[in-house]
Order: sequence, then C-alpha cells, then structure tokens
Amino acid sequence: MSRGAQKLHFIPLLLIPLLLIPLRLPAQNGSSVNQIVTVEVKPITIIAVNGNPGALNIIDALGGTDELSVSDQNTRYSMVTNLDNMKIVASVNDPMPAGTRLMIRLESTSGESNGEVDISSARTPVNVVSGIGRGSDLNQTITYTFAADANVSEISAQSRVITLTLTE
Amino acid sequence: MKRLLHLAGALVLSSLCVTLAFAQRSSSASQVVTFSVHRPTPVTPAVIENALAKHMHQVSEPAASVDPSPTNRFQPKLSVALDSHRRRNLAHDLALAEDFEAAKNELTHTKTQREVVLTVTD
Repeated sequence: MSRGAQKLHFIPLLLIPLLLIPLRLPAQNGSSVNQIVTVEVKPITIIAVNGNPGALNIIDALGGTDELSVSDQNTRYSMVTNLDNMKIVASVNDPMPAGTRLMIRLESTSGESNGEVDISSARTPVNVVSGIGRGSDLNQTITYTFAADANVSEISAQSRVITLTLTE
Repeated sequence: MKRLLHLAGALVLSSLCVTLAFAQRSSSASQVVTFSVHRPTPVTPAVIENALAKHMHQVSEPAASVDPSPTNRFQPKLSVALDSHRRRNLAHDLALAEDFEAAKNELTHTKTQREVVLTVTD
C-alpha cells in the first residue's frame, strides 16, 4: 500500500470524534416526560358487630308485676367513616309479638346516642345514633332490652334479625 | 340504530355507577336477637303434690320400695328420702328457685310431705 493510500484510511478515524460532539450536545440539555396521576378518596362507611346478644328470656317466677324486662349488654359495634353528619339506624325483620317490646341502645363517642329506642315494629329503620362526624368509634356497647306486659302468656323462643346501618 | 345502542349502553353504565356510589355511602351489620316469655304454672297444692309424686319415683334409697300411690304419698319417710339433687329438682319444678335455700332447709327437717306442702305454699 502506498503512503498516500494509508493517509486516506486515517481520515474517517479522525472524523468520528467530530461526529460525536454534535450528538452529545442535546443530551446535556436534559430530557423530560410527563405523567398524570389521578387521586381520589372514596366515601368510606363501615360498621361491624361482634356477634349476637344472649337469649332474652323473661321468667316470671313470682308474678304480680305489671311489666317484666331483661337486658343484654354483651355485644359491641365498631364503625368508621370519612363522611360528615352520618347516622346509625336500626330495623327489625319482623314485628315483635303483641304485648312485648324490644328496645336498643347504642353508645357513641363520635355521635349522639338517641338512648333507648323502641324497635318492636321498626320495619322501616329508626335513628339510634345521629350526628356522627368523620372518624371511628370502636367497641361501643349495644344494649338490648326485652319487655313483656304482665298479661302476655307464654312465648316460646323466637328470633328477630336486627340490622344496624351506618348511612347519611 | 348504532348510536341508539351506544346511548342505551351509556345510560346503563351511568346508572350502575350511581348505584355503586350510593352503596359506598352506607354499611350494614346484623344481629340475631332471641327471646322468650316463660310463665310457670301457679304453685298450688295440687302442683306441689304432683311434683312430690314425680320425685318419689326417682328416689332409690331408702324410699324405692315405697308405693307413691295417693294412699302412701304422705308417709313421713318419703320426704326425708329426698337427697339434695332431688330437692333441687323439686324446687325447680315448683319454680321456687329464689326460695330454694329456705325450702331446702324446710324439706330437710320436715317429717311429712303434708308439712312440705304447707311450708312451700307459705
């Protein structure tokens, strides 16, 4: 190979750095991409109970009383919500027998308890706690009271389903 | 026709969304309440005698051989043969659970069932 031809081979090698310089310049200016993140807090309303109350049995051993009643305070409820001005309503699946009454009372620290509420015929829900604000209420006592007039004859064991609903 | 179908689909979807939105704004929990009213039969001399006769049948010693027929029911040894378990059953049958302690003592020292009847009814 002649000396002139060898010089011609070096020319492309010398050009390579020159080609890289313009390529590196835009990379030094930075690169950006955009993403859109959508966030949302859904309404949260949760209520739960820890089982069923014990049997409410009226045993009139002595008689002579106008009305007898028994109570149970062995169950609790817990609730959480991120909404304002919520309430808890209670309903019964079937009315109570004539001459008997079923009352419910829910303790509350984040709302106002309506006290002892008669739900004997509450097929349509009735308020038991109102004005509940955002937050949680844990292990609050549920009190059931079953009462029977003196003139009520024997009633064999029956059951009712009580539904507590945390709602607006 | 295609636009109509799209519109109908959109309506169904939006109503479903509304339903879901409402469902998230309330929560329910249920409990089962069981109740009963028990009115015991009033305690009358006849009830007491029947209860005594019933428990006489269960006594093995020493009254097992005693005939609990009406003519023999009021023999003194029948009442003293009731042990504590049977006295408890008797008190239960008579719906006198609250007065059981007093009744038990009376039964222990009573020599005849006729006296028992008088004691319980008091």
